[in-house]
Amino acid sequence: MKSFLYFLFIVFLINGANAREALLSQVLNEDINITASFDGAKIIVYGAIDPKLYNDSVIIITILGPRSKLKVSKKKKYFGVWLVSANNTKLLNAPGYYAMATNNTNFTIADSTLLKENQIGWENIQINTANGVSLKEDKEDYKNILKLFYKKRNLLVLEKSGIDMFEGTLFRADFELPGITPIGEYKVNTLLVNKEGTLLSSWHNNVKVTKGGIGAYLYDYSKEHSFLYGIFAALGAILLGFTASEIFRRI
Amino acid sequence: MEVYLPIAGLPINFFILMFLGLVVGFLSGMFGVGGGFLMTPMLILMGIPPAVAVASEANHILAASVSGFLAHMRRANVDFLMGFILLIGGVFGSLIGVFLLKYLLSIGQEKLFISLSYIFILVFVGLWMLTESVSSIKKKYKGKKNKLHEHIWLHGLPFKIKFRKSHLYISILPPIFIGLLVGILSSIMGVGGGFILVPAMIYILGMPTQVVVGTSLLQIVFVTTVSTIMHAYINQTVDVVLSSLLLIGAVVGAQIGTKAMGLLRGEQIRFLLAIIIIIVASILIGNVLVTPEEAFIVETYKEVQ
Repeated sequence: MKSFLYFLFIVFLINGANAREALLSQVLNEDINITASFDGAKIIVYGAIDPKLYNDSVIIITILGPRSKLKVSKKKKYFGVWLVSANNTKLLNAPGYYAMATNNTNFTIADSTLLKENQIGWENIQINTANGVSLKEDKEDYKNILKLFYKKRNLLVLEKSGIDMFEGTLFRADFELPGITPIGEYKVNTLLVNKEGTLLSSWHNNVKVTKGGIGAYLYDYSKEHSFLYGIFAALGAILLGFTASEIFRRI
Repeated sequence: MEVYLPIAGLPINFFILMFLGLVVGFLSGMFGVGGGFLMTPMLILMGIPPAVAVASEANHILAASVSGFLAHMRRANVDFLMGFILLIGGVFGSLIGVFLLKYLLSIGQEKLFISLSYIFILVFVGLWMLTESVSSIKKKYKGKKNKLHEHIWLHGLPFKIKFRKSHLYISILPPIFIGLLVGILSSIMGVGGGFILVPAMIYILGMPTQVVVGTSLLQIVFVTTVSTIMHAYINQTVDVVLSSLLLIGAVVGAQIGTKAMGLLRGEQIRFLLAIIIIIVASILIGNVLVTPEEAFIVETYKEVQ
């Protein structure tokens, strides 16, 4: 891996136009395919910064998964039995995955508008509820509920030291996507911020997570031709049962 | 090795799934039950969404019961007329069950409802089998011969027809009602319903034991066909990858189970099965009573048009 990064660095130096840039960033795999044997995947972000800026700046990488509509329901105890409460809160645009990493654990940014604008950190992500009530006004802390829920399922990765540096200029960060990660477009933002909290440079990359292989085909077919899917599922099961009985009659 | 289940939307360990299929297949071969009532709760405990577990299990039972049905048909142990009458109720029941599940999914209470149905049925069947098997183990030496069947008031209802294969002349209403009940249970619980159908046919309809299993399998084949198609059509919850993988383990397990059955006597088998049923029921009771680890459910939702 290290030699690969050196190779990148050489390419980076040769390309004179880019050498004047303070930051360069790229994603190794822009298409991630969830296949039948899918067991999670990795988004690998790599790049380089101007070595002169290394000592007094910080690299921040955020990954925002596809926004989806979520329903949060509370479990309640009725007559000694745990039920799902009928009242629920609908979140319109919660990211299905979120990750953040930096290369410097001691670095703190005071400028909250920068953090908010770039949605750095879980607390700065904008999530709206369907009924227009802002998340802060609601009596339940939905952001925290979602945080705990995502953390448990590895859908939320917050690593202050998640970016590895090489020679003070090259960097690389790996982000694990769990098997249940939602499909869609993942926005990868790489920012270079100096000590004063000013944004020096930023890069935006997209990673597309799609369902592939037979699994995707089955999923689409079950949604688009649900009746035929049912017929085929039933016929397939009958055929399997018939085959099994024939095989075991002969053994 | 992980396998991604496309409809359930999550990866699951291939060997765990095989092992589960094998164990439940073994039990079903040994006890002559479909095993759905053990498989569905296990799938739910493994984290598969209950609605997907129920629908995929219906599909799995279809495959498993086809092979059993064929074996009984070859031995001419099927009362087709009775099977047909049971089916009238069964198909309607299955449709009612699918729409009931659709309603429960829309209000988000499907998990609790499925769990409570299981607890109720498993406790009832488990305790009944336990007392029955214990008393027959005790009575073993008395050797009292039973009558062919008891004639009860249910048989006196109108619309009587003759069932030659079962040597019965009874009203078609009780079989239709039993079929309906089992059809509903089958599609909301993901079971074949053999564990209810078999005792109902023996004790309520008074059918001879040798045609009961084959005829109940005929009913199960048709009802699970209807519920597979309808679950796929209405709720889109049939995961064929899940059901096929379960089947591989289950077919092998059933063959081993059938051979193991020869080592035990009937009432001992029923006693063991009763114990297993009560254990599964206790786990489910624990799950609805114990304070959940997470106080909230987060799920994606679609706008209802």
